[in-house]
Amino acid sequence: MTERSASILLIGESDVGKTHFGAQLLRRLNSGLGTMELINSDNLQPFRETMDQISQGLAGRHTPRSESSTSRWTIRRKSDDARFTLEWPDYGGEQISAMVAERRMPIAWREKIESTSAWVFMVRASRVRLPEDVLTRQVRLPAEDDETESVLSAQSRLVETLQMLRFKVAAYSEAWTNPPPICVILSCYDELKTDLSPAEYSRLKLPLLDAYLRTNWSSEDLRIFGVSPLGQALSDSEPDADFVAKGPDKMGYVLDEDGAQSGDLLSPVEWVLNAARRS
Amino acid sequence: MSLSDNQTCKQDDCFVPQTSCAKGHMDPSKCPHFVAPNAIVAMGAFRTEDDELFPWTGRPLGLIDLRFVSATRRPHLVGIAGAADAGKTTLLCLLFLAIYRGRRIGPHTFSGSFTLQGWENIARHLQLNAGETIKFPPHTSQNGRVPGLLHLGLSDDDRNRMDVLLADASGEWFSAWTDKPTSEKAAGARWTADHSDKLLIAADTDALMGKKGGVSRRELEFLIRRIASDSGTEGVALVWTKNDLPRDAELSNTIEDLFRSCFKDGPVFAIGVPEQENPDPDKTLQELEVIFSWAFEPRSRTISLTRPDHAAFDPFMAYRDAS
Repeated sequence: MTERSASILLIGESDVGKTHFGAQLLRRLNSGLGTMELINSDNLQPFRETMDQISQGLAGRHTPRSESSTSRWTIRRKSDDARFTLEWPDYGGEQISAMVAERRMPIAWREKIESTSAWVFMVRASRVRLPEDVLTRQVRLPAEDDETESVLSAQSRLVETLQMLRFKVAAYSEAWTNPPPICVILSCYDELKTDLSPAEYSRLKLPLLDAYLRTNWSSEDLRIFGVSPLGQALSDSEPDADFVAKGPDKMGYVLDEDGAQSGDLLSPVEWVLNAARRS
Repeated sequence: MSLSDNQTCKQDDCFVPQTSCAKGHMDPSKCPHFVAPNAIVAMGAFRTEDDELFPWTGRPLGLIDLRFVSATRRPHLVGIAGAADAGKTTLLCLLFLAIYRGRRIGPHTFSGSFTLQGWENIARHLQLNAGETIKFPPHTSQNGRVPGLLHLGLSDDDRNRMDVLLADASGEWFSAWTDKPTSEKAAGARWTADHSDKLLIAADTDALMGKKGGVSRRELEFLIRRIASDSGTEGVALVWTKNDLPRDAELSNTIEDLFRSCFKDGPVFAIGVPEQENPDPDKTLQELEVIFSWAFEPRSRTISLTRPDHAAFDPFMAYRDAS
């Protein structure tokens, strides 16, 4: 029996579904129906409330900015009986937005960056708009003078987030180090109402981020998934009886890079465990 | 140098707390140059003194910021010269918009930028965001002595990387430099002309064909001469901007003849935003790609070695008679 540990740096701004995804993963692992099962966990606290909300057909509450916790799960892969310790963090996503906006990172992130063996980068693609511009549509062009600063666009913010973290990876290590493998999760994929595969969607609708990812990670170290943790939207006040009847552990789906859909929410985690640097 | 509001270091080249301490102190307050600031008090509830900082802010880079980009290799500098309102900033805008849409420039793909905010500050004018109209970028301010430098990291398919800096210099600087290269006001233009690996001269179709066409033409002709005499004759191209507007053939010929007589191999390009009637964005994108493929080509600098003559073929004797 092999025993490995993998710790994940989960990167995502607020409202991308970090806690929902964590809660649904935990539930899948606990049910033992997938390719991997949960053997032990040290702390379910960060996900308990969200799991309970989902069980009632409700959306989970927002994780406050100040909150930061890690849950350690021991997982068994059924195919070869390999055991992994997976550290899945949970925190308020404003920490990421603030890092870009304020150009500073809490010192606590240093340890996270130094110790992680894989990155999971969650993007709520429906919130990332590619604006029309002079190259895509016919426009009248009055010249106008204003020097106010624009708010950084969502795509640039995503690139900046990764740039900043990569910079710290290099700064903390004595030798040149490539950043760990990255699993990009386009979350709430159901919102996109698209026939495009996650790889195509990323190339066409998030082109700047896509170029950045592909020039900075090798193809073995990069994978793009589309994930819908719940398979549908839930309200935070009106319980969805239909959802409850079907059972939250049956809901949610994953699209692999080429667009093949499966109900196996664990597949991104499996990829991460395989790709993660052995530690 | 006077300390700006939130600057807390006496050193000219340190911008704590906006960037990390230039002397390398993890805790800037341990640095002897640190000024006990009032600024820290004003920090938000989530900020603490031991926060990790970054050496770039996202805004255009200044000369001191360059150290950070140029530490590993010399960045490739592209300058754009031309009168005020000649379309220099618009040219940069179009470049960023193309990259933002995932366009490759020749063999180059975007691999990062330390001035994303700077790019967006100019590019948003040609982008349509909710409730806004598209407009040409505003005037590039002539304050300051060095042009704001926009950074692009580029990578080709073999993962060869290069850092490109594009100088968004003010047109007034170039006018001042054309009139008197030693002028105080011309420092920014002088810097751009001295350091650029590739220099694009923007020739403004609109201004040259307009009411004050004669004045614009005189300025452009003298600018071309100034560049040829002060900046050398290699790595310079002429770009007709606002090419979507009509241009007199004779005017084109005269300017291009002068340009070619100064820079014998210098290429001539043209670019315009898509026309109002029958817009053809692909045309603009192709023009853009041609211009910047050339501009991003490394400029080879030849070093010529003078070998001394020697009668016997013996390297040890080579310098014996050389005086």
